[in-house]
Amino acid sequence: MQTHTLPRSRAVRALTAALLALPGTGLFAAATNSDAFPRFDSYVKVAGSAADITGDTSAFQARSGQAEPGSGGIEALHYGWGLPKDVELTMEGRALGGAQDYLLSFQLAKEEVGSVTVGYETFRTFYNGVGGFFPNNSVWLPLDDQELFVDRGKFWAEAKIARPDKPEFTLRYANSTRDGRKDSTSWGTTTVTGVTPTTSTTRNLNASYLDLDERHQSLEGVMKHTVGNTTYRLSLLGDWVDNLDSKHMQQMPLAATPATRSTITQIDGAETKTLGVMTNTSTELNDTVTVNTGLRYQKVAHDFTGERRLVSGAGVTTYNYFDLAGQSDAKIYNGNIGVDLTPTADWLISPCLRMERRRTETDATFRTGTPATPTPQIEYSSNEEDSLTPTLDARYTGVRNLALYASAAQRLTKGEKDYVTSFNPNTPPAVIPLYASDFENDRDSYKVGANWRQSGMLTLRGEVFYKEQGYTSLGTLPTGAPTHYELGSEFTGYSTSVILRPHQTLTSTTRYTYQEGQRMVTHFKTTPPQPARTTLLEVDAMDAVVHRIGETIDWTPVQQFYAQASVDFVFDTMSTAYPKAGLPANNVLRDSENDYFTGSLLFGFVLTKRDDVQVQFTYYRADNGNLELATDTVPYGVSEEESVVTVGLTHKFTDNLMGSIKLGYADFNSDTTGGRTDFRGPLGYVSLTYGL
Amino acid sequence: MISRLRRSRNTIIFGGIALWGLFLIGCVSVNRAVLAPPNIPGATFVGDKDCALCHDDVTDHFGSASHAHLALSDPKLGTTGCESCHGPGSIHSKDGGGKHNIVNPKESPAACFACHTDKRAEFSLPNSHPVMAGKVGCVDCHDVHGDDLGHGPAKLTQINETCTSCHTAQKGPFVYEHGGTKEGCVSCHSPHGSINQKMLVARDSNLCLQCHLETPINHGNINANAIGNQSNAHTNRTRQGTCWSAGCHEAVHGSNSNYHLRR
Repeated sequence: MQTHTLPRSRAVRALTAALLALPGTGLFAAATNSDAFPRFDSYVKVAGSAADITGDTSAFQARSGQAEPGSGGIEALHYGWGLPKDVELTMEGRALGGAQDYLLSFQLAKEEVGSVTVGYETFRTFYNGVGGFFPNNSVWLPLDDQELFVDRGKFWAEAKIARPDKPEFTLRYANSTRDGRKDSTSWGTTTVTGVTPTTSTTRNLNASYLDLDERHQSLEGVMKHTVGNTTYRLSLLGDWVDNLDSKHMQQMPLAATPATRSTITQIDGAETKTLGVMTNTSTELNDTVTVNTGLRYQKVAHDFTGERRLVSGAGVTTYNYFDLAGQSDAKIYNGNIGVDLTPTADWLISPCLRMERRRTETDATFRTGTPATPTPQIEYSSNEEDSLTPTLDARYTGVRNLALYASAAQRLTKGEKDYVTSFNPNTPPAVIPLYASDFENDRDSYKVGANWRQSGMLTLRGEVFYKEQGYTSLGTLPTGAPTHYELGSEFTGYSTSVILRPHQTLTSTTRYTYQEGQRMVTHFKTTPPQPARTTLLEVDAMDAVVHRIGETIDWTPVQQFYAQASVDFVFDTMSTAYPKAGLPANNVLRDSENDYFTGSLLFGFVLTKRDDVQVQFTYYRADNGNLELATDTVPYGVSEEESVVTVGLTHKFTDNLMGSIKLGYADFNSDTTGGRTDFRGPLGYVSLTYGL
Repeated sequence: MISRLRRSRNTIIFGGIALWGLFLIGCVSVNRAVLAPPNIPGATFVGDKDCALCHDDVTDHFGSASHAHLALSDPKLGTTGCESCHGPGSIHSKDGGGKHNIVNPKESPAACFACHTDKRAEFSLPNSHPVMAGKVGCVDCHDVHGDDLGHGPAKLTQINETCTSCHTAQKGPFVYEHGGTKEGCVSCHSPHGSINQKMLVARDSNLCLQCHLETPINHGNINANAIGNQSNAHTNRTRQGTCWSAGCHEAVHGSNSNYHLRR
């Protein structure tokens, strides 16, 4: 082993020494950048990508966002025309078949007059229709067609008139759509789990999915004008949402008796109309005082429909509910007033106060039973809340190369919440199921930080924060018995950044963030047959600790070479019931561990006058697997590993034509899914960019 | 096996030396700077005043942005803030504007990652918004320049508005609201990315229990909203899965038909 290691070690040492000595050799071309590759303002880029994946191709698509086996077309098109009378027309485009990624937009602009923009964009997001893997008997119940996707589209148009010293008008319209199918984490039931039936053999593992058919339109008109020292802004908004989504779930697909198998379909329709008006002013009273005010009103009308039906394997349809129809009306008023004070050039102090009033009324009807013999149900809820949010921001830059800042904010909310759970209006209960409560919610947050450029070599940034919240609800049950619920939480932490530049060719950025938090629940409820309690019981509901450590090193020893290395470690633990609950709870729930590591290496260097090379390696690993919990529950801990390496070459064909090629390899392994979503294989990408 | 190892070792050594030779030749004969993104080869810093000459619509309210905390007073340049993110602006300023001679974080997150190194890691996780693929930009959610709607929590806009502008199905109002949503979508979701599906902060019942746990010490059961009512212990129910994936409380964002948020 020694005999092999030594020569390699020598070679590595020689290469390293040579690389370190490079800047001092004086061999290199002067830093005038005369051989720089052209950068185009107007260009068309034609590209294609391909992958030859072994394993779960739908997992690859969901992970990479790339279509498998590939996509191709115009990756980018940007063109600018100079038209008569100083009018500029610009066009942006993209058309990548396979990835269903398209864009076309135009902008017509004339300085000191205004602009018109029109565009449409659509792209596809991939999902993987798998449920949970159960290690006991290796049960794996993905969708028949795992390859899911949602196409997002957006059309937009904007007209702006902006003449000097005249009111500025902007009218913008957008129509966004989401259409397709994605996975859900509400999984279906199976009892084929191989679990010894000392407790429950049932686990929810079957993949389920959502069908999305959503449309969102918005129309906004904005007028802005400055008169004297005051800038006024008036905005009118209309917003329309039209959604028809559905969730599909399979129950007991492996049941021996077909009649036991079933499918659940829930349909949710929603039409929401929001009308709003907003006005702002900003007045410069003098060089040191600026007053800002804002008012906003929104009226939301939300109509909804729905049903949830279960069809058994024997073809029998039953309903949780059907013919759901209801409406919500919300009115939201808010306003703020703030002052920006600059008593000296080094100070900025901004006290601000925000007020909000929100009123929501909702009622609905639906039916249970069957369409032939339905049972009508009615329900109702209302919510009234008022909040006051004072904030104070301060910044001081009076010390050279040092910025100090602090902010404090408090949000005080009080309100009433009532709801009536569903009942049959034809045979109303003797006591209407009305739950009423008054609540208070106080949230405080504080932050102090500094940004210090000690020298060209060292910059330090640090910030300490503290947040707390107290929520109290005092209410009554339909019986008139009191209820009391409190939730208190407290989070504190700090973040630090050290940017070190020991040499003009070397920069190190280190960032560390620490956060810890606790939550505590207090609850008292007197509903028969619960034993009456005379004291409130407090429970330490959650403890969480997060450490994030990140390091990035940029090294450019000569202008023809750069290297960037980056690593991030995250240690993230959320603890609730475990271990204080004791057995048997401790067998069912453990702490939630969300640790992971990512790393990347990036090298780029000049190869010839016409060629640059870029090499990239990325790595990700999470090791939180807890498959041993399968005997008592579903193990959710994520345990997976991924590495991707790519080597790219950029070539200059002519002053107007650039090309690039990139080859790589991806490898992904998941213990969470028992290897069912593993994939690996070569990747390829090629592009040509032509300057127009 | 050993000869294969030797062969690949030799390939690496001699291939590396050959590449090194090519690189040396390139360094000697080519006058071209390559830099890790985001950078503008050949550009130098000019200070905020130059930026304000054309971009006053942005610089006017920059003081309300949290990024204004980065602004330092430089004895030569005056205040420097814009170039912290947009890179040195001398070429952009000299050319009277342009797209290729300035860093635009809207088109590439690399500028944001220069400081927010942890966000680069989060966006590279398997469950994240497609920022790395260029389909979503940091500025689609973050108002990095500030605006004239107020400071921080005193802004006119409401909590969750950023999220529900795209995720309209979760907006409501619902007949039965989930109180947790009033604390923000980030109570349950890590919007930059997570190792867990749906960008969840935790993939198991701890996610819900952080607010709903009411189990006294050594009670033996997981009680959720059920102190004093041990028959409501959730231990056996959570054997099937999490609170929402086990078919019990699926309507986590709010329900129009069940006040336990069951569907």
